[in-house]
Amino acid sequence: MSGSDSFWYLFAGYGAFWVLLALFLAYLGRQNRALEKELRALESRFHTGPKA
Amino acid sequence: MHRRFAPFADRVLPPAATIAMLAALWCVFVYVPNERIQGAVQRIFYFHVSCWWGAYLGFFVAAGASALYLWRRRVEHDWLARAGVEVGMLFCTIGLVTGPIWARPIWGSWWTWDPRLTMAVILWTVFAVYLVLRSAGREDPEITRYAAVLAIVGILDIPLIRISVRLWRGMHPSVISAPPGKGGLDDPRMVVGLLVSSIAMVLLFLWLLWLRYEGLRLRDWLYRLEDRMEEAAR
Repeated sequence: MSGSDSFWYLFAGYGAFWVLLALFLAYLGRQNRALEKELRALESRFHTGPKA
Repeated sequence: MHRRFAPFADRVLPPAATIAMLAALWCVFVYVPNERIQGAVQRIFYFHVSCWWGAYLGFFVAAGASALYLWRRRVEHDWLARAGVEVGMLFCTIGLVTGPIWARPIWGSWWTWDPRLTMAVILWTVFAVYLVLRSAGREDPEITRYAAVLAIVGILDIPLIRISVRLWRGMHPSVISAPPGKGGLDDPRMVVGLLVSSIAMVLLFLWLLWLRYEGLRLRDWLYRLEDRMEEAAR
């Protein structure tokens, strides 16, 4: 195996680590945005009051 | 418990994990020497092994919290179990992806059904089933109980992963327990590299666990508010 091949696999390994971590952080961000959306909906219901 | 841990988690964990991760990257790419047979690709080992510590920690936290949930039925334990599985699955997936990237140039194959690899896939599958069970919106107590039992049963696979190399003589190297010169860590700098990477990964694990736990806690709080508003509206 040549040195450049070895480095390709090395950077692929660490690239995979950062990509998967970024995907998980994006998932956490999406969960937070969904939570914020529900909070805003609750806030608007609170201000308008219960519908008859 | 939450009030006591929150200031530490919010102020200490983010900078500590960031500094430890930078130190780990410096160790892996600058400080540790090349392994004499495998060359540069062996450096994948430092994050690959450390990620498995993160996975095991996540699943052990999940199993412990699930046992507490089954015993006391406190919802905080369920949030912790779910957060543990989600973060554990992240590290388990990274371990399963980085392993074949190392194996391809060293074994000449991306994957073999070696006992340790097979056990690792079984572990991933068990906790993937846990997440599928939990993916339905609001919590069903019966599903939560089944999932808790699954988390406790699931960690029985972890000791099998650890001993499978010796028990069934697989291809997977046993680097940490091997003596120097026989596939172990030949240079003391390699031990330092592994130690720093493991500390970084544990701190990252704790930070992510905390973020997810807080998300689940706030979501539960929101659901309770919605329920109270609906009751008040009736």
